[in-house]
Amino acid sequence: MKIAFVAPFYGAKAGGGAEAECRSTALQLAGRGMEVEIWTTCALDLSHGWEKNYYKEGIYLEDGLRVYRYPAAPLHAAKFAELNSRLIAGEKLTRAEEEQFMAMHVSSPDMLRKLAEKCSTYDWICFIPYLFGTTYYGSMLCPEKAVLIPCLHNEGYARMALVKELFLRTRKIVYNATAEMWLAVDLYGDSCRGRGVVMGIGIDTEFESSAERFRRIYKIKDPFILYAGRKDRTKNVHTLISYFSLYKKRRKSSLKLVMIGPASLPVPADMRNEIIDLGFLPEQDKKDAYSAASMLCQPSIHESFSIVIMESWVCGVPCLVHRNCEVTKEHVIASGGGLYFTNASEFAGCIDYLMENPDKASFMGKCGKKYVEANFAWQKIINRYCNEVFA
Amino acid sequence: MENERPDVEAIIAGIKKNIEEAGQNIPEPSLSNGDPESMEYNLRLLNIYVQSRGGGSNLFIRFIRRFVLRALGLSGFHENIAKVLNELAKNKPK
Repeated sequence: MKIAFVAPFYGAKAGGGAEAECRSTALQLAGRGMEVEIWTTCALDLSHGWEKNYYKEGIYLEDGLRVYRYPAAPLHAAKFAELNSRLIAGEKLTRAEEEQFMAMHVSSPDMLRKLAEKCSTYDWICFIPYLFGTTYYGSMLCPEKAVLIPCLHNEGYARMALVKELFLRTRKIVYNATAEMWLAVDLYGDSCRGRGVVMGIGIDTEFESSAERFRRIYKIKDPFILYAGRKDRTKNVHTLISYFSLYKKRRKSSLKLVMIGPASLPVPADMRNEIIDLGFLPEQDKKDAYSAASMLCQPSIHESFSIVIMESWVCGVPCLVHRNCEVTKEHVIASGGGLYFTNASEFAGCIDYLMENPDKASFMGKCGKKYVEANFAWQKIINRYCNEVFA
Repeated sequence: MENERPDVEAIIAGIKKNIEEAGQNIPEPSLSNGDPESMEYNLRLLNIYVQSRGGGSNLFIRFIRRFVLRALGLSGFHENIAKVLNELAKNKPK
């Protein structure tokens, strides 16, 4: 079977959840013996923009996969900024304006021309994620072979008429969570359920980790809550910091908050010994940190999956999530692998429960691990792709 | 017990009951994601930033960009931030 993945950005250096999902899924499918090729642009990733080429145009061989890279269409920055800010403000654009926006949002006419020539050679073509010209225009070439992996969020962009057309024309849709599928049904109609498969992202369930190694290297002896991910307001980390600060002021406890990942947020001066920001850690150290933690907290209210929750569960550590995130709450309730909070009082109550009941906390971690193994182990995910998507 | 999984909803209900009975409500911090003023402030800043992207690369524009990023507590910008802030603002309590 021959499969293509079409994505605006691709590569080991490309940051972002959809980019990681695309690359890992493509590599795992290739490992199962499928012929997998990648069609993408010359841009590095979203955070570096797509106005300038990072890669040269051409055909690359990366980790055994053939990668076709084409330059993205020129961006009229002022016009794009105007349309983008109107979408941000919740304004509905005209059809012509939506098309202008999509054309500038990482599309590649050169890639489309070549893909049109070659699309008959593929059995299936996967487009990821939804809000890019590569996906919107690419899926027009071969809707009968198109698999959309949308990574959909409840946001203004999702209400564009062009996005609805995209969802309605693709042959199959692979969702990362049930809540994502229901959002698509609400926005675009019930057919998004019939053509959909709720899959999730594959997780490595057999990695090695050591709590002792983490404590030794980073000299942290006290119990701690772990936050792993980008530390900014969009991830609601400022709420975690303020809730934890309030908790510490009301409890005599040696519990710390350890944060790992890029970026940073200000920590109150009187909390600098209680909240430890270790910055971006090597992969093995991150896994060791999961094992050493008493619990992982994922305060974000806009997650479409949350790989860190799954990795924490693989290490047998329970998770604390925000009630306003349907996806992470769904994972926690389905697995029994943690608790959720809405406000500072519940945050404190959940911490007390997990710290005062170590046996129950440990049991929750084990339940989380079973949930990941049952649903998101790579073998399961690739089997489901073969049997439910590429069937 | 090993074959069952914890009833998360029941545990949360118990925690809420304990908070209520013990009168342990913790007041919400003044600046959280639920603070409408905070979100509107962020959106205003973000809009300035987005508008400034088309303005070339002169020093003034660079200064404005850096100021906005710092005010948002961000070390880098991408469009997803705009999307998420938009949703946070929409979800703010009425």
